[in-house]
Amino acid sequence: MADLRAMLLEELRHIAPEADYDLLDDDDSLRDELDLDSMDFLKFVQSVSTRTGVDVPELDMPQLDSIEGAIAYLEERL
Amino acid sequence: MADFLMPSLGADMDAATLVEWTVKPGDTVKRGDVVAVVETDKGAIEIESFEDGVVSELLVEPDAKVPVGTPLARIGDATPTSSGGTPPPQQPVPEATRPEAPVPGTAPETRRPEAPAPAPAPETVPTPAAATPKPTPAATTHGLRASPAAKARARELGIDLSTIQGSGPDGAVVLTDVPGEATRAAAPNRPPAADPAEAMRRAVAAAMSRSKREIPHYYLGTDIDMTEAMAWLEKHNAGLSVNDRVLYAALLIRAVAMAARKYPQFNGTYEGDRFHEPDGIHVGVAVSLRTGGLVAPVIRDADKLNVDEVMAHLTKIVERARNGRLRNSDMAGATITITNLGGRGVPVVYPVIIPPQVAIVGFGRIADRPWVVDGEIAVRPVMNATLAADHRVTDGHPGGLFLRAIERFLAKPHKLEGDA
Repeated sequence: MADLRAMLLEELRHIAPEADYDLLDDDDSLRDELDLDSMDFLKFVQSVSTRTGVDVPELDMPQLDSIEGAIAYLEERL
Repeated sequence: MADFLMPSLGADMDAATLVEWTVKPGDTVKRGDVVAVVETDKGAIEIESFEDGVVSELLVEPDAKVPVGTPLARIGDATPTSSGGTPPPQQPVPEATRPEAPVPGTAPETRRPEAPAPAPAPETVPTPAAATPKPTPAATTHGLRASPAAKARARELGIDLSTIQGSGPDGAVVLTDVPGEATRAAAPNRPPAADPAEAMRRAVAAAMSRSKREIPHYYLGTDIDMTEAMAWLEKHNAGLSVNDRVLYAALLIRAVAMAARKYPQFNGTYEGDRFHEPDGIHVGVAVSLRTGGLVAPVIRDADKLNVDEVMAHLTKIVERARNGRLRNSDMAGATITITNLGGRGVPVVYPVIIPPQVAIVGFGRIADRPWVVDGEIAVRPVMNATLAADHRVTDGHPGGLFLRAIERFLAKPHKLEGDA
């Protein structure tokens, strides 16, 4: 899980490098807290998919809108 | 032999500072190759060659501020250079017969600089893979790979690029890697760098002030049931991998483009006291920058692209805008613009027209709302669309028809698919 968390944060930092990640709780909405628009969020999901090899169907994308949601989703499929 | 002129970079931008050349005399260039990087109030812009040829002479030194239309270089016929890399002998052309280098990305009748809404790449420009500039010594710094915008910003701040950890492809330094607050290295001969955010703000302020000063806006809004559009999108994306997925923004762009085809008086520019109908429908897409400010790169011929192509173009220009790698061909030639603030949770947008265009459409968030369906109350995903249009060109009646056309296209999204 620590590796997944680090990977997720690394990908988020590519998209929103200026955000304060110390204030990001694991259950916070990434789109709201990091000001990710639809293009940003799609890019995040694409990056995570590429890094993990897990394809994320469109209907599942909202599950990756938090660190804890993304970790739970990925752990089930890895 | 032709003069390579400083191209139009958008309205209210009539000059730019040359940051660096990415070619040298003797280099062969193809149309669409990046040949230089310039700095504007809206950030660094990559300048593309508009023809094939061999660079014979560079006429401007870096750090020079160059007005639009000024010769930057001379490009000769695409003949092989000598083995030593020396350019072919210059063939002076009499002034009367010297061909005028076209301004890429602009319609023939709108040569003057346009609003700072970036424009999509012209249809005839090679694909991004083919347009990749040849590597030259000037393309790297101390052997490091860095985007032109990153190099420009680092140079401006006096930062050694080798001290920056790159986050781009293969460790390349991109704009967002360059620290915003950095101690400037001693650069006694360089004037103090302007704050890029402040410069961007001034550019936006100039364009929006001009818009409100010159354009008599009228506004019309409508609520659109997005049930069919979202269902179509879900079905379209169902079999696609995440890398090929289409966002609903692509449908909005197609809907506006198709409506503009039906009502061309909303697609064009107003200059010289009259409306000019352009050579196509080129939709500007407002993109907010994480560093602050706004650009509007363009998707050309959006009415002729299918939804997947629109999405591919949208992805490319947003990426370029956010990485500070917009090209001159992205920056000019928009004939109508959209701004979508739905992702920010805004219910209604009252947009401001980007001069010299005559219309802009704002889209708000999609939210479940009570809606009457066959006489009964249902819950439907509803989105507001607001048209701002130039009253010198159109009135409320055609404006209403135009908005209704957008609504009807989104209600029947199969009409937006385009040819595969």
